[in-house]
Amino acid sequence: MTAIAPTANGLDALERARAGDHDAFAELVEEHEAMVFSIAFHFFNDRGRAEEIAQDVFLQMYRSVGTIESRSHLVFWLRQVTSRRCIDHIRRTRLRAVSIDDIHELTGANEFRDSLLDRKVRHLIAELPEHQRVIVTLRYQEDLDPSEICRIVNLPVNTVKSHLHRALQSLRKKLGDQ
Amino acid sequence: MDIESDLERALRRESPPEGFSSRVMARVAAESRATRRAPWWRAAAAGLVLTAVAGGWAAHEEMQRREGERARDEVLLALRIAGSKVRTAPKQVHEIGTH
Repeated sequence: MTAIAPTANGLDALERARAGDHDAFAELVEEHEAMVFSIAFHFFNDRGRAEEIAQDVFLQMYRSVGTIESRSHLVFWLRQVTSRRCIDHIRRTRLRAVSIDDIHELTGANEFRDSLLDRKVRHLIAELPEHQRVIVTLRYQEDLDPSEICRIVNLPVNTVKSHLHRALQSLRKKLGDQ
Repeated sequence: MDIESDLERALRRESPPEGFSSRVMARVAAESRATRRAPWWRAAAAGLVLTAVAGGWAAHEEMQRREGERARDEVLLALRIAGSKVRTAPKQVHEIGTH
């Protein structure tokens, strides 16, 4: 969880952003961009689409910043809105899990940074049903337990556990087959 | 194979592409400008509507006033004509009597 970072005038970035300070809002974007972008990237396995979703999430945050009560509420809100937007987007468009851009990406600069196994795992996650994708991402990227995930995805905790169990079974099987 | 550690490694947070926050802030600034402009446009539109309504009402009042004045003038003219007829009537009666 992110610590509160008060400034010289005693107000933290969230309070200043709520008062309409764009510099403070930019601080919040920079603080949380990796989390928001990564949730979307691990959902789509597509950096371009992940950026599009992440930008939309921060624009929505700008419109709703007055309703965000605290730093922890902001983190919860960002995780929830990003997860919902990813699921809504995939339901609207029914995209293929891997786009042409990703094929380019796999042979591009990231090839040297990511191990073959990492890319294979991300590719397999992007093939999971949408709720399983989000739950696996929140569990392993954000290190949340099922009781925290269930509040974000608005599902019963046992459903979250069951999605997680099925996702791991499926990933184990596919990784074993390859 | 430890799938959980594979997942943790594969799903580590990544930075967005270069310039991401600047692109977000450009969209925020555009939205902010549009939001600030909106009240001005709304005020201008409301002003135009009020001017049109007030202008229409004033024109209507002026028309009514002129109609009223014309009617009053017509009544006064009719009274004057009637008055002059009443004044000349005894004289005409007298003349008829002397013939």
